[in-house]
Amino acid sequence: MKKSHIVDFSVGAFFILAIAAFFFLATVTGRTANSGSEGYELSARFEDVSGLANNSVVRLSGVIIGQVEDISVLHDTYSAMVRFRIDDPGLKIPDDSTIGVYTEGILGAKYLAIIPGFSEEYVKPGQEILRTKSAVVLENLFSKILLLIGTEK
Amino acid sequence: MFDFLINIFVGMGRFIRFIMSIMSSVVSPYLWVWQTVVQINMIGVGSLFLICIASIFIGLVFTFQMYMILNKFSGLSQLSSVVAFGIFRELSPVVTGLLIAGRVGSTVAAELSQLRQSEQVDSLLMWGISPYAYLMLPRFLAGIVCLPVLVLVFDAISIYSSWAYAVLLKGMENQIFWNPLLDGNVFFEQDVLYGLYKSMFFGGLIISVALFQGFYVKRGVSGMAQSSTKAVVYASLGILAMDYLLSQLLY
Repeated sequence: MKKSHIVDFSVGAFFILAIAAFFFLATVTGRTANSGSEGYELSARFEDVSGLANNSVVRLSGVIIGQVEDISVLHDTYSAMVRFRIDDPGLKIPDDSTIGVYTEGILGAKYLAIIPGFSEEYVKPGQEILRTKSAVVLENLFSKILLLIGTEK
Repeated sequence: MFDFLINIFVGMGRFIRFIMSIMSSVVSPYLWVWQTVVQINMIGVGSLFLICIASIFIGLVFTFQMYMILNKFSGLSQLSSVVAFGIFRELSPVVTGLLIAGRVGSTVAAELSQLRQSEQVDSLLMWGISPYAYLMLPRFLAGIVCLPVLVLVFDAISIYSSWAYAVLLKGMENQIFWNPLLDGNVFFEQDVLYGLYKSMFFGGLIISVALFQGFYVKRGVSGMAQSSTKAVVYASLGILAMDYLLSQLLY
């Protein structure tokens, strides 16, 4: 083999290896949910959203169906306003559904979970889900437990 | 003291002018394609073995440490995402950069200073060939192309060696290892690609520092030794400093 052939061969093999590694990593790792034009936006009001962040996922029956777009504080009631996007435009949420902030495991990230209701009416794009459940803050839970132990003595 | 400061500023100015002349030679009438391919062969393919071995051990040791720590907090289910996060974002671009700075930076600086000292660069100019287009640009492009490829290979191999440690040695469930990666904790578009963007900058930095040190070499054998030492030291420091800035910028 000529020397230039060897160079061509090894450079070619190098890039084929790169493409293989690229596809391997692409299949093994997760994807950011395709935000933007797809789907529709909803919002919800919470007393406490500690730990929730932009791009936190929204789950329904454990399946990822969207992500949080924006979190802000309302100026009048001081509650937290969360806007989030549902990726599938065909997925309709009953308007008596409950939405809550939950944690994946003990060290896991916070996510929004929708528990569907039974209403025949659906939430329209841009509307608000009214029934909400705030994040459980561990410190509050601990102080409640301590109070309980204190009273039993 | 004052001289020292002035020298730093002058060196920096020269370096920036140097990079600009390399980049401006992109629009020169002729790109030396074969030179570029030879440099890719030298920088990328030649470093492949080094990167493979390094990535195996980095994957193993990082998984070992994380396994011990997460075991204490009973958070082993997140093992692979923690490992992948650390490796994809930080370890693989930085370690690859440092290794390549050591292997390639010194070679390129020595090459250039040899060419410069034996006045072959001047003879190129006599022929009407720009040394920037013929010597510098192929190496520079090869550096920018090769580093991301090496980082991809590093990522893939180190996640496999991490798998080998956790699943084969420690008897973790196969699914529990792979699930956190797929389950939306590690993102391809963010974590893997950020590492690649970083490494492109590192590749450009390593090669341009080495070329600069080689091009402005002092007379004599000690000048050559100095230039290759400086190329490695400055490129390594530059990588670490740049890594912080890029991490802040890209997160």
